Amino acid sequence: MSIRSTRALALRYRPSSPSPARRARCARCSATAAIRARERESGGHVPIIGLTAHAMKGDRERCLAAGMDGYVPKPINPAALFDALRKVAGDSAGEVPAAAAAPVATVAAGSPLQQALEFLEGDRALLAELAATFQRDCPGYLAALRQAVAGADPPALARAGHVIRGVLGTLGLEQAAAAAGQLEALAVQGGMDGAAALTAALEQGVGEFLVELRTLDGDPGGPALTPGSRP
Amino acid sequence: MTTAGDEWTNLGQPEAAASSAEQPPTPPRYVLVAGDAAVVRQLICRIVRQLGCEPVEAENGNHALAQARSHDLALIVLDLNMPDKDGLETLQELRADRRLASVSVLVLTIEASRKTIQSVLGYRVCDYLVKPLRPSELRERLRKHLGVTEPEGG
Repeated sequence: MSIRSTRALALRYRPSSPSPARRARCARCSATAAIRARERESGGHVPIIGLTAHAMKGDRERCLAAGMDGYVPKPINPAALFDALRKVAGDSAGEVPAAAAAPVATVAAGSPLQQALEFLEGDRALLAELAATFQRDCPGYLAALRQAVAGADPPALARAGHVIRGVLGTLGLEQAAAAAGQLEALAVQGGMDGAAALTAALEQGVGEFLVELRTLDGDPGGPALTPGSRP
Repeated sequence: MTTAGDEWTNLGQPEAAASSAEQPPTPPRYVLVAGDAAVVRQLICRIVRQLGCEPVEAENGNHALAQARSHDLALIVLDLNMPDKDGLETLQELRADRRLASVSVLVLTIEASRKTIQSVLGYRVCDYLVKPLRPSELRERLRKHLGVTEPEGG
């Protein structure tokens, strides 16, 4: 199996005269569509799994509609990726490795929790303290965002985006903070286009962080968040 | 206890060194932490305690002004974006209040626009820090402004 960048694939398989609709789609989807179009002429089937960091509603459907065999949102959950790979590779790929099947035992590199820990300079006790407050306040922040989006209320959205951006930044959750920043910028300009998708992306990032926090909390045998510092 | 007037220029007070001694003869040095996000306040309060000072919190501008009037503050850490009364308005009122006009104010915000920075700097703040900052960076700035020479705790 080889690794290629989407850009390389998109360039290699670029259709000679892309339709406006195709151009509007993501490079990932147009590359997939182009590969499938060639395969219809030449035969064969290269398995394609879509990876996307946007995690917007409908991404999965768009990827599958473009001809992909599977879809895994980023940041990658190892178990989900192995599952997707096993499906496209058939049963010959064997069992999912234990490490991937049980990702709760480690802090995945590059995961939101890992990012937070790095940003807080490895201070697990501090992360545990801040995370507890974040877990308490987060539903309120997200509700304010959703309400502002649903009510098409740019000033409220700007304010909600600003507050959560500051909090996410303090926790070192850069990607989610960036999504909040985009929401805020959008709202400051008085616009709401794309706000729902950005909110979904932000919620996804936050959701992953919260899930990771829970798995670590409930795993006394693993690398607990607060070894020795828990009362 | 020093008066608010001494605080503005006198950053390296002898009290700071005395507060690290074992006996507690000196009253606590209060630091007001004003901002609407609890997670952010929590981080700052933790650092303030590590530096041997006592944090008091406020989650909006009016609360911040009330806290400032009822404590003898060594420093105010002020977020700009707050409900009810924002940081800039709070700063204006602080400076207009004879007793609070010279208290040290450190602005800690995610606002980085030139316009905001310029309007804030018109009110004699001792520092303008743009978030996010790593804990050690924040701690170092607070340590400097509180005149704490020997960081306490971890």
